[in-house]
Amino acid sequence: MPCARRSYGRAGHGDKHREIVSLPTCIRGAPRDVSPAAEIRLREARADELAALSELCLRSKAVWGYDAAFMEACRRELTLTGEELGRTLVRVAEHEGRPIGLCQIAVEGPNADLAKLFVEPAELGRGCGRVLFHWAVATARDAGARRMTIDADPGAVPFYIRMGARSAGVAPSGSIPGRVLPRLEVALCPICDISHAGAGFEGEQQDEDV
Amino acid sequence: MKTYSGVRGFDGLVVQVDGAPLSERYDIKQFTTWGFEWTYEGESPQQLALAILYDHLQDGPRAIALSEPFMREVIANLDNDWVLTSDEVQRAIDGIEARK
Repeated sequence: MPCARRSYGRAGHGDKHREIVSLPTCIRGAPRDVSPAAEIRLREARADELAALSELCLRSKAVWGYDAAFMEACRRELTLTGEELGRTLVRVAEHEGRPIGLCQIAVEGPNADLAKLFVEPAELGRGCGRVLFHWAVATARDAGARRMTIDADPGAVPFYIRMGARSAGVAPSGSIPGRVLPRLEVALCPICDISHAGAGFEGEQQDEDV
Repeated sequence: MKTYSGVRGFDGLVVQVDGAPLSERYDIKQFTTWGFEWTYEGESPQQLALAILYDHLQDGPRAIALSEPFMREVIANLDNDWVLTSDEVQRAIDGIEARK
């Protein structure tokens, strides 16, 4: 297999701002230097902040460079509702009293669905995604799930692979007719050693779904 | 030697060969209407595989034949930002064809 070089730095607004330093790594998910994980506290979501949290989801999704029409098409799926708070499990990640990420899972029997995992763009790479993913894995397992499915944004796949997820085909987008998304799974059953889940390299945390 | 690169960022997906945009080559074969993708196995990643292979080989039927295994072995495993040289592409082709 050829060597894929991980390029550090993100495209800015215009090529003149793009700085790419390519380092040969040959594999996806090579470690990189990251800031120490900030002090992150998890708490339940409140009904009075659902609009703000939904906007956080949209800001996070937008880092992948989707255009306005695409983002508008995603709005319904990325909007948290009060009904969902009663039907699913949602945690908000806070840093210094400010929401910087959220995670939502739905558990039905042995199956869990990681419905949302979004991090404020300015907080990417500081461990928030890993903390939320750990919560999702532990909570789904404690609720009796044996596997957790993630229909991910393609840009989020490297993060989930680092967290221990495995490729499991593709799934239709819930927002964009005809679009397909990579599907990943995490084994949760106690006899399947999932101690590795979430213990991968820290790296870019990013959203999922749509 | 050519250099292929892909970046996923605020400007969306940018795929280039030697600094110029890489064509999807829908004229050779169209697997998807959604353009390029990578990090997973699917139709858009196969379109990227085809485009790179055709640019490298200049042989449509061979690029089509190799596009699925090349997608599975290379494109699906790329990180969000990546660089491939034509030497690396050729080594992957050699490996795929050696296993036939």
